Amino acid sequence: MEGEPPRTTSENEMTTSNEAEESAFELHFKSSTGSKFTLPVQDLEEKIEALKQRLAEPSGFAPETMRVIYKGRVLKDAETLRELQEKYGLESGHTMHLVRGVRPAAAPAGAPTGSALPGVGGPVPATPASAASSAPSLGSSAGSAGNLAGSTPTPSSAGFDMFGQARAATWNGTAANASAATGAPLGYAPDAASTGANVGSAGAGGGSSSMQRLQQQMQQALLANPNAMQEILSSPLMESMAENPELMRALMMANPQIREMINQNPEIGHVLNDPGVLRQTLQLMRNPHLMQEMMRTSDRAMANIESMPGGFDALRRLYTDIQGPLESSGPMAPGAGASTFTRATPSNPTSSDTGNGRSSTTLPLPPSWAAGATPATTGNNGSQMPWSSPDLSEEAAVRATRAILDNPELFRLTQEQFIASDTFLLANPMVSAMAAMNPQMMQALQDVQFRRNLFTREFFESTLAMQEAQLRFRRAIHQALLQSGYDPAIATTPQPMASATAGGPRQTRGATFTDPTAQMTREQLEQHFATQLQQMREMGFFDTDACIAALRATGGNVAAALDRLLNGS
Amino acid sequence: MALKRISKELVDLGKDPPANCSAGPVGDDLFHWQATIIGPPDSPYAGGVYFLNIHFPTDYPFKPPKVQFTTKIYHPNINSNGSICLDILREQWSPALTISKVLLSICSLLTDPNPDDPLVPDIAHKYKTNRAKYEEEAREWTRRYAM
Repeated sequence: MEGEPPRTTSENEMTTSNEAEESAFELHFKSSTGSKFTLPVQDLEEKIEALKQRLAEPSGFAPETMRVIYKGRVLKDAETLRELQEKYGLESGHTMHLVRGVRPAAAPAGAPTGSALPGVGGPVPATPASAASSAPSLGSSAGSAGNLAGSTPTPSSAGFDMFGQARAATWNGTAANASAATGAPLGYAPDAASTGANVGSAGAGGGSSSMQRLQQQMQQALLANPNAMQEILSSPLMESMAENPELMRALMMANPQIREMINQNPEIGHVLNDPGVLRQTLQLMRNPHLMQEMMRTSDRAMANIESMPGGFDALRRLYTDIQGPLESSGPMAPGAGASTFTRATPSNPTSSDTGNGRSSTTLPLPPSWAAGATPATTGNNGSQMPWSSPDLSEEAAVRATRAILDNPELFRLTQEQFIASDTFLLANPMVSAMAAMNPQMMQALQDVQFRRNLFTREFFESTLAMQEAQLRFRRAIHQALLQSGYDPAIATTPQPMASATAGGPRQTRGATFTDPTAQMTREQLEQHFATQLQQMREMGFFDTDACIAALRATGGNVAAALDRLLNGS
Repeated sequence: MALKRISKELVDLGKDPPANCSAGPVGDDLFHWQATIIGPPDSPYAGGVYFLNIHFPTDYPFKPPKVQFTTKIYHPNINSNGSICLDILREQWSPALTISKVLLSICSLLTDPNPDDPLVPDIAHKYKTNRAKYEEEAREWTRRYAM
């Protein structure tokens, strides 16, 4: 690698000065059929396109379906060999691979693959295809109902979105789009979260904007016209779907995330399998007023976030920046998909934290991060959170938040508190886990300017609005559950939401100002941070007191604590 | 040390890459590579091109590289994150191994999955009990995501 620059220049000289020697530049090719051959290169300015023409005969692949792979990347038609030489160190005698691509889809498939290369990219082209293919398969049933039902079972694309692509698209999307992503699952969430997957897959189709647009239009049309919605929901199709636990089950099990959730919590499986619950939730959805109210609040909240002067941009930058790393980092890779999931199960469903100011960063994430996150978290909402009784302390939290917002002086103080310290954010397990995965995120969180941009009044207000909407939503679900004879407490058993861990949603905003570890004795602290301390000891940090101090300051985040210790702060 | 070794591997790979694999740095950072694996012809992944991300630890080759699929694949030992369950990427890693060998091992894993040490139990179960169904599914995913 070090030897490259001189070689490149010598190669340059060759082309200009010595034609004969230039012809000594040759490339080896290995085709996926097993054949090998060598082609001389006369002109390094030759484009891959031209090279493909020459390769057609020896390889037996048609140039338009041929894909040339070099150093882990699929070469683009417009690239020249010279560019490859300069960028990737192509040399005479190097080997390239040839593969046959798909013929009809070649145009759309070829183009995005190239751009998808830098790691983040999944195989984009597949999504539109899969979405499209699944729609007609089920969509024969009249019009929009067909779409609703037809787009539901797209496990492939929903599952696929962990490789995301869609993320940027969703996040960059309009507020309406984003709110469709949040709003819709809120509205339909009880519908077994499979509609969550549906919306998610609409998002995942980010690459296939037309599909996405279609779904979006569909959704908007439906929302604008409650009657249509009602009709669809009362249509025999939906009835029979709800009545047929096998079908619903199949639809739901087709989504890997839901499957995972059910595996983790069989009770949810029982609930989701019960036609009674499904029917109840359908009825709930038939109440247009409730639906609309929900949509409206979430729409407004999203609009607020977007209109925030610096906040939106900061968030967007942040999340586009962290996407790549997030996806490539193993455990977080499902991008908040699976891991939000697993994380949310033992702690708190992401969005239910919203009353709690410190976790407010997590709030805009689900729609933005990932289409993957949307179905996941809403799936979670739909199945776990809402079953629990919307309890009084949460309402109290809402009221407290409102009180703070109504009192300018108090609000200013609150805001300052939030801006002044990064621990509020880090104390949230989700956020700290994210930060631990990603140094950039960590940096952003520690940047006062970022926090200043983030914690604007609009931000808090929109948080509040969302929380209120959620509260209403939960109340409705709770009622539905009671009516269908379910114990609303069942699904919350894994851990009641008022967990003592940092970021418990039932803490009022006021409570978030106190360090949860503040009152602990040294022994308690040691116990509290046992795993972290163990980890730190393994890394050679034996000073327990210093470790605890660092852990407290960073909200239990080992990476951040280490950073702190090493930087001597 | 790590850098030297990685550079050497890069040169070797350029000269003589394994039959179905190709790899190179993503940008200027030699510790971050991308790779492609061409679905082995004798497997249901034939015809697919799979992209992978490779991250070398700073103490490479004493620690294994982190290798992950970025293309979705239906395989008992590769989960939806793209994580690969392969012993040589974990406890069986040896400094004598190279990226080229790792990629070849992954290729052979594609041809011969190891359902007894599964990462995705569902797929492993299908592989064991209904091979035809597994192959059909794997081909479908290949067609859908890797072509």
